[in-house]
Amino acid sequence: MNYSSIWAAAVILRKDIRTELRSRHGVSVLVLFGVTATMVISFALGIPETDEVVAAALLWIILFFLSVAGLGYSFLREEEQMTMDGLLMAASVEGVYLGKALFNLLLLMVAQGAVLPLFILVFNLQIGPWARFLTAMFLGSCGLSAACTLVAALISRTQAKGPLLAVLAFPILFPLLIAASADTAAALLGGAGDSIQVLVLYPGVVGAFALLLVKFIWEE
Amino acid sequence: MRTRLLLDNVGHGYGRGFLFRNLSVELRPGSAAVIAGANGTGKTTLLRILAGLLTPREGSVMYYRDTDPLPLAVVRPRLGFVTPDINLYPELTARENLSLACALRGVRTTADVDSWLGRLGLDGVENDLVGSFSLGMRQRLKYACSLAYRPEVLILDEPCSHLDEEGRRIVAELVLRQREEGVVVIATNDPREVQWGELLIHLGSCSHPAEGY
Amino acid sequence: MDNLLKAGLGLWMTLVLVGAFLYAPTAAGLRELSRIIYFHVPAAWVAVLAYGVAMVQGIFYLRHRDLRFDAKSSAAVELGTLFAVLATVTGALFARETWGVYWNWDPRQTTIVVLFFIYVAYFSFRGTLADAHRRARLSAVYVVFAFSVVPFLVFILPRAYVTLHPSPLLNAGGRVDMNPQMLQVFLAALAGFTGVFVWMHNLRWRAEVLSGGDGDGE
Repeated sequence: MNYSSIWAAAVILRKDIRTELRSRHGVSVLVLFGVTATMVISFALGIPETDEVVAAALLWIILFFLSVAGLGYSFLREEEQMTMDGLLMAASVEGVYLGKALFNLLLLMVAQGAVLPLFILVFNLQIGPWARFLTAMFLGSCGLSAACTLVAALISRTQAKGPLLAVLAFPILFPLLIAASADTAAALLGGAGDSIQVLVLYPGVVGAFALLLVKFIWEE
Repeated sequence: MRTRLLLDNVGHGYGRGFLFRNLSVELRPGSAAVIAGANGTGKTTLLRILAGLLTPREGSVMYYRDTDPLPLAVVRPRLGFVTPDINLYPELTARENLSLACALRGVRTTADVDSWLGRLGLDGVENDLVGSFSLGMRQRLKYACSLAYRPEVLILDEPCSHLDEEGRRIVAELVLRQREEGVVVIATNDPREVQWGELLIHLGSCSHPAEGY
Repeated sequence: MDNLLKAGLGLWMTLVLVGAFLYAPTAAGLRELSRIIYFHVPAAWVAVLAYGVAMVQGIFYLRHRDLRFDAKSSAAVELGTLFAVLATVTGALFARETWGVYWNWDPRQTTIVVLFFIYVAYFSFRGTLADAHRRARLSAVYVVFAFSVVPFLVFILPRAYVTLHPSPLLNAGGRVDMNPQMLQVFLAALAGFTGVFVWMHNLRWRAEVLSGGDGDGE
């Protein structure tokens, strides 16, 4: 990691935002998935006598599947359009990973901007301390993006694509999902969660592993 | 521009056999090499090795600045690589593609961008999306994107594919200018383009033909 | 492996079996059920050991690009899957008999399940890669990347939940909760299972090198 990698990451992030604004491939998948899943769950449960623990778990299940459905495109599109080698010629692999991870984080936050209000509305949730709730959402999204971006890079190098991302990402995301839903449930109940250290450390640890390993992925 | 390129006993292949082997060449600034050979003899593979996208199974490719070896991470952004295997972004305009190629390498180009587009005959379409471009226009834009950051080594695979006579003339001129100071490597079978280099590497005469390719 | 060693291992495991059922006394309150620790704990230990071997061999592959390391890594994952299943099933039976449920998300159950998911993911991933070197490289990246969850599993989950699981052999107080005969059999079983793993692993990776490994790729 050095200055030029961070610079390249910023350039790639800007490029991805620009192409996303023109095509809206990524956002539409994430938002559509989140909204559909929320509506189906809400319909199936009827007028909810809300259990905060269940709501938090459902929310993170939705966010997990939304991530594995949408974040795989980051590298897949570059490989399919045959632009990945161009990026590798121009910038360090670490820079490419970082740029893609930041873009995926942004995608997740935009999707949550649409899904969270709907979720809170249909489940009639009372958010206790908003700061805690939003912190859990943000740190959880950082973790989802850090792990899914590396797995997406791995999968872009294989023949079979689709559902593999969920299979490979699940065991790695498992502790994060548990900690995030515990903390979200605590915030909904009005208290403080006890898993905040996991949420803070997870993106750092997983991101560091990813930055160490990403150079092997394209090394032929 | 003082970057030179040294191939030391390079060999590569897929499966058990080799496409080429024991390839040793030195390319100094001011020289141009042409790699010729029938389809499937490894021209594109050799170019990918030169570009650092592929590690050869045998031997090594090293870039030197005077006598100091340059690590791959340093040298790769300074190579220009025009190949059918690397595309432009169809959702970006011509100008955006060109700025992206420079910005990723940390090269500042504000006034330069339009002059490069103009040199390749792309004036008037600077702000059109590349998705609407013909193959020939895309090929011209690839040259602009690979030359605007002033690479010291230019690697060309099928340099004139999809180009008309006008485009071919522009490319010939660019190659000539590049080899005044830098290195050019061209993979082609077109006799007109073979003329562009003074060194001819002919692939396909390897004594260990590929099996089970 | 040497024939003498193989025979020795067979004899050793026989002694472990005999010891587990005839020599060691039962633990108070658990009666015959307590004999499961001579099989359940070593199986869980081998499942974790296998992951360690897979990861270390994966790192060796990334360093040296020799497909034999990849064969060792993937053979360890295969055996790890087997032992993870054994540990999970024996653990669930024990849980059912003592606590009344097969499953209660005890931290150790959670850990072994995550390990199992990693193993399964590893094989579905390998299946999509045709080229030997690319398969070796990307599988190694995945198995090493999966290690990033270990600190969270090992250090954070067990503290976050109340457990019904008997405390580990060497618990916080550093004292051993077993009588000498039980301890002898238990340690012998751990050593025996480790030996069985080493032997099976040795067979598996060499077979893999013989069957698929022409050592070529990209």
